[in-house]
Amino acid sequence: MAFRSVEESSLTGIADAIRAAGETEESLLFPEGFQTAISNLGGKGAALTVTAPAGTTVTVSRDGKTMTRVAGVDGIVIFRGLETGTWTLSITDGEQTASKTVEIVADYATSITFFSATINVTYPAGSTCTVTDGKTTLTAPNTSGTWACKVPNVGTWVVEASGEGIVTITETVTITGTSQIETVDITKRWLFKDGNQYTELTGGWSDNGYNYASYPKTAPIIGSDIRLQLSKSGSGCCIAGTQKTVDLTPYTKIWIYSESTSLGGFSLSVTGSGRNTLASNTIAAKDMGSVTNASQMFLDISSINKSVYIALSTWLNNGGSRDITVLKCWLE
Amino acid sequence: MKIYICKDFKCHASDDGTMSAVETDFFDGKCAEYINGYCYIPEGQSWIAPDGTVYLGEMIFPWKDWQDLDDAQREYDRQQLAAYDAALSEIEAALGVSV
Repeated sequence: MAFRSVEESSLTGIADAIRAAGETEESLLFPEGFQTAISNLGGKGAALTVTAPAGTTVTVSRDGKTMTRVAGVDGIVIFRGLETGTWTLSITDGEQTASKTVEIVADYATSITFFSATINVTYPAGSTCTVTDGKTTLTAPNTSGTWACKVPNVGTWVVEASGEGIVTITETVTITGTSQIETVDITKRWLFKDGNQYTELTGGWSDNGYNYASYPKTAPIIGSDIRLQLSKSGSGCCIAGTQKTVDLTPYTKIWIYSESTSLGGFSLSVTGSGRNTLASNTIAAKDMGSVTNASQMFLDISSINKSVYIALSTWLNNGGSRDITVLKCWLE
Repeated sequence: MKIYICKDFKCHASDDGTMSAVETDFFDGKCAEYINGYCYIPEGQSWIAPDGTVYLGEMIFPWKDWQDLDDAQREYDRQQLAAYDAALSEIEAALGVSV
């Protein structure tokens, strides 16, 4: 056997490396300590191979035992000597964290990465805003009215604002992958948008029960938008209105958005039970009249503190045609 | 009917000498208290509210609580009906008609 002279500091370094690899803090008493540590290098327990973002700190833990490594440029970290059972695997880059559980039975490989999807929420200032998927509930850090909410996983997330004097409004957002960004505005109480008639609130939109004076009616076409179309040689009307009354107390304006280029003879109105949209029979009305560009327009309802019907109507007195589409209608 | 609007587009049943007259059938049959609780912005005109919101005509909406206005209108209608009934009774009496 050849012997080499080794300095004491080198031996300490070697011993430290052996202890770390063998997962022991014990002094390496020769020969038993060395034998134990070196046998551990051979892989008592299972090995967990983790693929994580490069440079992240990777930690596995179970029953108070923790092992930590930093992922190299290839992102691969190997933990050896893991006993069978459920281990918690987590990663962090100092700003983001992610975790998952892994079941160790034998040597096992897994990957983990950060998940970050964002729901940009606009909500009534002064209210409390929450986002939940039924398992995790996130709360806005303040009541400013804007919140870039980062959700930790895919799923259906319900955005809600509530508070004293605030009408509780919810919107649902579906997150399908990381880096997805969605925008939600829950300051608006929608009455119609993207074909959604918000039936629970409005009862649906149609001309049932409505009239304009005693003019004959043409039914509206309601699909992805509300279309009021008329072509008559005499008088006629086309009306789309809510089939339920809507309580206007919390709101100050009703808005509509239309891209029609001619809105003459078209009005947004609120009525009582009579549902006659002739102006003199309404509570309040906004005649779109001279608008010729895509526009959103509102009717002031700040002094109407009761439940009313909301209607869109167009009419002809002496023949002609009308073709008006409304894409959105909401309360503010 | 003819109503009057001031510079803030508030409606009035009578003119104080500073208002603009407008014709609208919105207030047909409505009492003065009801009329005085509304704003009317005629077509082609606009009003900028103190908060900067631009109101485009034609728009007509209450600025007083509408329930109070409706209550006043219903009381007016009751009084009108009572007056009509009284007048009808007088006519019937004069004609010697009994109903």
